[in-house]
Amino acid sequence: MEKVLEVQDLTVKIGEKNIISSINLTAYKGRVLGIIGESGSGKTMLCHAIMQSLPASAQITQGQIIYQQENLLNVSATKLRTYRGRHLSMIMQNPSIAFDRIQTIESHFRESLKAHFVMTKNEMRQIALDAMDKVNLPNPQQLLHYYPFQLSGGMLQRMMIALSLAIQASVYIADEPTTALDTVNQKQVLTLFHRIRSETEAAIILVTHDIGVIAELADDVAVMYQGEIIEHTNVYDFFDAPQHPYTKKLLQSRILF
Amino acid sequence: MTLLEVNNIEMQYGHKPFMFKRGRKAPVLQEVTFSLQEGECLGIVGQSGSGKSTLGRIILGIERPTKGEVLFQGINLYEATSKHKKIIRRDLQAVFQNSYHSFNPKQTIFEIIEEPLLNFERFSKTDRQHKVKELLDCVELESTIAQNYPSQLSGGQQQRVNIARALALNPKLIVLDEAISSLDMILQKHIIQLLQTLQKDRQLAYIFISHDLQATRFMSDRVLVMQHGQLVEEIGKDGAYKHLASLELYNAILPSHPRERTINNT
Repeated sequence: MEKVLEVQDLTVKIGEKNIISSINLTAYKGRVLGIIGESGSGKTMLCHAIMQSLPASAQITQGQIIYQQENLLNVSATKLRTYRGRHLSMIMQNPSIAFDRIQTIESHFRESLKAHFVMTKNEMRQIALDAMDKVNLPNPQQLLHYYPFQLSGGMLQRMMIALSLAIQASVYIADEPTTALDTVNQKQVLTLFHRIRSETEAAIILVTHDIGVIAELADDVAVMYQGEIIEHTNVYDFFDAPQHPYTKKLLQSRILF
Repeated sequence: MTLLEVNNIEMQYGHKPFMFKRGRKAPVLQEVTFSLQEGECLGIVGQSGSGKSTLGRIILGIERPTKGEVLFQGINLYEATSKHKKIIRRDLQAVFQNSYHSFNPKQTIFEIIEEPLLNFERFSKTDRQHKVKELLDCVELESTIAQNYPSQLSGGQQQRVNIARALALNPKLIVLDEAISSLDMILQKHIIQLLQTLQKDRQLAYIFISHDLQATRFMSDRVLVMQHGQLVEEIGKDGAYKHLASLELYNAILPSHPRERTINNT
């Protein structure tokens, strides 16, 4: 297993309060790392810390984020910009807010591609069409001219994944990608992540509060509770031999249904 | 006894023709008919856009259907006299998905739960205080919370306050429109258990609207499946189904263990 991204001893503070306390994580090539925890456990903050897009009030006080043998916390702003988006791609929870509502889908693709590559409009369009085709969006040619509000939530979420695919990121950070979707769309998006894992060999960090999502997709699981990772194991061990009392409670909440 | 009867509901959104503009109509619900017994829990499932929430709003009397009638305890919701309407408002309550948006942010929790009591009952202030405390107790919240504002509570607590407010007037039917969908798993379990005990104690009827077939089947005595604005199937306790829409929802249920994965095999 090849390491792609490593988080070492990461601590994030807002004021004096620890939001995340010394977290260690590793994402491997072609594997899905599932991060599970209840609301308020610091899952989203962790994603933003890795992307270095924390709100101004939050500060990273210690730790390292290692990608391609470099500590992302120490690289220059220019270099960070090339990593962010080109190598590390984030897929947000709420697709209807993440898009710019006065730009068409095509200009979203153009904007992202222009930031990282030099290419002509036709090339960009071709890449956009291919990416949309990969995520099973119907009529890509027509969708290019649509505005975000003309698409449904499930389609927008797939569009967001298509944007990441177009850039061929090597780490996908998906923050509750299916929470805003209904179950049928959720299944489609999870299938998509499975295909990304097997076809592009990217590392996927999947943040969720749904054990079903973990059971369906994850290879490794990290359980987050009050800003700490209390358990970090293989997915089978997570289900068969949970160690921490909180993990056990989490698993019991599933058996009910 | 039949509590609610929904007969041949049809709903269209759109605008009428005006000057040179052609009118446009989008059918949202077509020929929806079902009935609900007292103390029963009826589930309604379907994908987003299938018309579940519109149906819920029509049952609540928030929106008037283009055609058809809704009878609540034998009274037509849309032709009721104001006296009857008051009774209906009392016996028919709702809990929505977005708990925070159903509060007035400037009211304390006490004021929020007290409001229906002020509208319908003639209690003294101490009686109201007792009643609010009792209701908070019912939904397993500390009575100290009453002085807080909604923004100070977590999502699960907010949803419980919503339920407490709905319970305040001892209603006969509560419409739960995606009431647990935005909560995390542990909270979902808590709220479902809470709803079930309340149902047993108070002889409540629920209409449980959700896109999650698994939770809905767990909650409900029978489940109606909706697709494109039509009721396509009723799934009973035995869980037998035939329609494609139900199959789709069944296939979307996530496994409870990685051994039962379905995506990897296809």
